[in-house]
Amino acid sequence: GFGSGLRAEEIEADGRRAKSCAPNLRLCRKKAWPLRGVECAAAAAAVGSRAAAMGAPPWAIWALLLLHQAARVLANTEGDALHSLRTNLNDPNNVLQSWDPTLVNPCTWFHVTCNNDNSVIRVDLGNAALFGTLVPQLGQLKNLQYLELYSNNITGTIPSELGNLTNLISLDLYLNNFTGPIPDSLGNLLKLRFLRLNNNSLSGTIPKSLTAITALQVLDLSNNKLSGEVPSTGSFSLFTPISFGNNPALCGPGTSKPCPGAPPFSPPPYNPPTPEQSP
Amino acid sequence: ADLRDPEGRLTSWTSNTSAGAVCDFSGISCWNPQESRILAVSLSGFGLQGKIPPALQYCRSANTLDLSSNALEGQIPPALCDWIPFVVNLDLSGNRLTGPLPSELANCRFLNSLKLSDNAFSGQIPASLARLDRLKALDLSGNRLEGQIPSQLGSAFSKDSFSGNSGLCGHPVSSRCGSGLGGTGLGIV
Repeated sequence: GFGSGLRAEEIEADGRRAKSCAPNLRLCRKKAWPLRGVECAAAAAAVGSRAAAMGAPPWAIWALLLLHQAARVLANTEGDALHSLRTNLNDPNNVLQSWDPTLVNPCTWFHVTCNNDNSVIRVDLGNAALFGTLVPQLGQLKNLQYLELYSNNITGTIPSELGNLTNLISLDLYLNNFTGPIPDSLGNLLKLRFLRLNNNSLSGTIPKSLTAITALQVLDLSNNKLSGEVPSTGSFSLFTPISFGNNPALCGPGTSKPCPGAPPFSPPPYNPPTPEQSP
Repeated sequence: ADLRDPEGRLTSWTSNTSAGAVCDFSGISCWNPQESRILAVSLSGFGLQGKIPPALQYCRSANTLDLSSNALEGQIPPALCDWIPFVVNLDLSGNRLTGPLPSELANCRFLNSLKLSDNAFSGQIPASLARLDRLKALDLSGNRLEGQIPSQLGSAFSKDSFSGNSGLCGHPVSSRCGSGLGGTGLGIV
């Protein structure tokens, strides 16, 4: 038997039907399950089986499962991710004051917008006088469409984990102090329409992976320290020297300098010859 | 001013020069909301009259100029590609423009789309347009163009790009140059 003290559970022994899981959690469904195989929450099963392996009495196993499930509901991955960002940023104007990590989700925080499923779709922190660095956890905001961090004093590198944000439509990091490379992984953002990284100190080459993003409408990489050849295939056919200006070490047809060893550009501007007098 | 706005569609175009103000003008979009660098001028169907204005030289960052479906007249200024050299989409279709297609259009070397249909352009299609190595869409239909279609353009685009110009000849429009009454070449006597 299980013994007493499990008021929230009506669990019966070995293989018989569970009536309900802990109230308010709604994580489990009515189904037959063996003592250790809790199908509805694999993590809870792991907790339960670890406890059982250590020789814990059955009532303790269920107490642990209950607490673990409760913790899982109160923890919110997206809120945690944004909280990590807040921890890394210096916020002299207190724009992040509403970012309370004890809330069930971040959807009531200012500058955060969620969809109908309480998942973050926008982070709007442009012009917020923020200092500090970004965090890899931003890559966990899997429904994010708009990441607006422009015109701040953010330093450090662009986390390659941003390449996991496959629903992203707009990535605006312009007018900051980012250093390091443009991550290749940004080529995974196939829905991206706006990529504005201009006015930073980004270095390295422009990833060719970006040319596969056919949705791209506005690309601005100007005013950085990028080097190497500017791609001109795929979506980059639409981009001109305006997108790449003020990167002295860039070369190629999208700039004013041919790359070393490349054939010269098309002929100089066409001026029609003035008509000559025929004898 | 060269451009006239009889329908008053441009009343939002004030003389406010603060950063980003121009981004709120109707038909104007910017590269980003922090700066006044113009990305696109899209004035299709605004009832505009007059000529293509030299003031476009102040929109040097523009990648799109769409003046289609207005009542513009006069010619395409040969200096257009000095004014907006980075234009990627140029649409002047559906106006009352006349004169030749300037060969200097080849200086808009980043053009992906060139639409000049439904005007009254005359003369020959400049061979220089074949140098536009990013050109993916070309529409010269519905004009008064004549003469041989430059062969590189003729092989890159379908006859829809050239239709409605009764004096044009060569591939891909059906008539061969120099044959019949419309030809301009020598006939065999």
